[in-house]
Amino acid sequence: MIVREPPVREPARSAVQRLGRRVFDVLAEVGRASMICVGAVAAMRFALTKRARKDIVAQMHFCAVRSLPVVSVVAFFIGMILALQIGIELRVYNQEALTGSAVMASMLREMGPFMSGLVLAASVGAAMAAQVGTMMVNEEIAALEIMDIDPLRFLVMPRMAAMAVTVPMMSFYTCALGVLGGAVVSHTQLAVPWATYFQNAMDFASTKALWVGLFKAFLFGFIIVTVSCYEGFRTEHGAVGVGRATRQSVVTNFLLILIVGYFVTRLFY
Amino acid sequence: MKNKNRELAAELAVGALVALIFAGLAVFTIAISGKNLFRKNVFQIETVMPDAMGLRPNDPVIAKGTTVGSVTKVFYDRDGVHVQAQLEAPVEFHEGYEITVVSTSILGGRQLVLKEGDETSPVVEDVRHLVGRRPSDLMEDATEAVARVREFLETDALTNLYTFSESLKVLGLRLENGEGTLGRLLSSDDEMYTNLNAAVANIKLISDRLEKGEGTLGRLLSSDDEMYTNLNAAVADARDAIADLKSIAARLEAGEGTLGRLLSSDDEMYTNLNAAVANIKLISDRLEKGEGTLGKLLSSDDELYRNVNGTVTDARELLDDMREANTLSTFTSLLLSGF
Repeated sequence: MIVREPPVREPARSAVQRLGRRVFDVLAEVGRASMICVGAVAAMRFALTKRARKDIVAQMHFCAVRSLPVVSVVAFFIGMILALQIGIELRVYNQEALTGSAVMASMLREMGPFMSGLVLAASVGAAMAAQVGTMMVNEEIAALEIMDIDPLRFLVMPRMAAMAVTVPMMSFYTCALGVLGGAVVSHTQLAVPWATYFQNAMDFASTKALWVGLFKAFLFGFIIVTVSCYEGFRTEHGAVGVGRATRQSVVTNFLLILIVGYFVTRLFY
Repeated sequence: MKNKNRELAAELAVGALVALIFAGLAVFTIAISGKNLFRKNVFQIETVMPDAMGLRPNDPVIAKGTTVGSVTKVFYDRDGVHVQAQLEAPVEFHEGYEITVVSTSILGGRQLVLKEGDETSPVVEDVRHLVGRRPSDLMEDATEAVARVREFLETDALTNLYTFSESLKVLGLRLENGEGTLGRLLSSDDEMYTNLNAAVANIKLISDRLEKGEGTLGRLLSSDDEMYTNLNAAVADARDAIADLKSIAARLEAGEGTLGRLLSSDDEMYTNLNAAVANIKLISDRLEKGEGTLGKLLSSDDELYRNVNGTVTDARELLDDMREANTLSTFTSLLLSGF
């Protein structure tokens, strides 16, 4: 049940009561968001149906293909910035040849999933929140529920399935382009030969870093869809509410990507 | 129809992107995992090391400065750390080989370095039980070096360094003030320079004279060989003299001649001389005592002198008488002889 009547509550009598009510509200929001996530995952069993497949492919097109230009630019420049900053420091120790290894390690472990997550949260996540929010404001969600169509299965599941695949893919793509951008800077600015750069980069690349990074991106996909759809579902008060939901979804996604990213890194290293 | 085409294009784009990225991911995973899918000629080696120094699977294996393979497995056992590696080159190990782990940089990274050993030594056939050497850790070495420097600084060396620095400072000041020979040399005062210039002029003059063959040294250095001839002759003479001296020394050594006998170890002469000296001493003692005729003659007792004197006086008188009688006797003799 997505659409529900707003609870009627008496105003809080004291600051302590307001604080306690706020804590309960936050916990309730977390619970509802988690229920959306669990419901969408549960609906994955219908992911291979013809209609669901078409929806998933459409969402993947929107998330991956349409986001490719912005992801490419961000990834390439992130790699260039990393190479430049690391290379300048390494040059002090006459070790600029190791720039490739540092760029590769940081892209695989953190920057790849992190940057792709942020870009997709800002572009795709915001779009999802706005779309679902508009549907909520226009009472399309209510109409779906009246028609006994599960919004989680109909709206959230294809997005979640698409993002669960797309974000790791974009993460790897970001890593590859970032390393390439780092190579350009290393060669042109730091005079590191191409072969040396890529040799060092491959020497320091590890399977664990790659797969932990992909796992992180996979989690970010779930987070982006859950938060964005949740913010969309709780939209109210028309266009203003849609704007607020969009903004709130981006902020929450950024914070959760940072926090979850840290704890996943801590878990594996 | 338009929607259908758009849908088809979207599906194609997504499919291509997914295929491309998944293919890239697969290639990358294989590349970094160190698996060799295409080359069949791989050689497996295993070495036991006392310390692996953080060596990990996929770290490179280096021989003769080039990458020849990668580490496949590292595990701990009771006899040490076992390191398995996969080589793409047929590295041949000889007795005296060395296997160790080295740091690739100060930022980390390890590699297994193989030194095959002397090619003239016998080949090690069992490459599954190679023995590695304890690696030298860059950080440990650096820590030790820092400790030594600290130890050095904690001794009097630092004080000595300060003292040396102060001495240098004083020296610099003295040089700047033109004190001492070096200071004068470095000072702007050109007296030393003038003297030095004059000395150099003198040396040049001397060298010119030497060049011309003037003076004894000049003659010695000249190409004229008169001096040399004379010197040569003198040396020859000296050589002859030395030969003569040698001959004399040999004769002396042999105890020949008076001097030789004197210097010889034969003490006959000494004994005779000693006896003669003893006799002389005895005679002188007797003379001192006034014994014998000569002793009496030399004694302070003038009785003998007086007797002798009297005798001499008597003898003189007798002679006078005889002289006077002699003329008559001679005449008589002549006279008588006529008959």
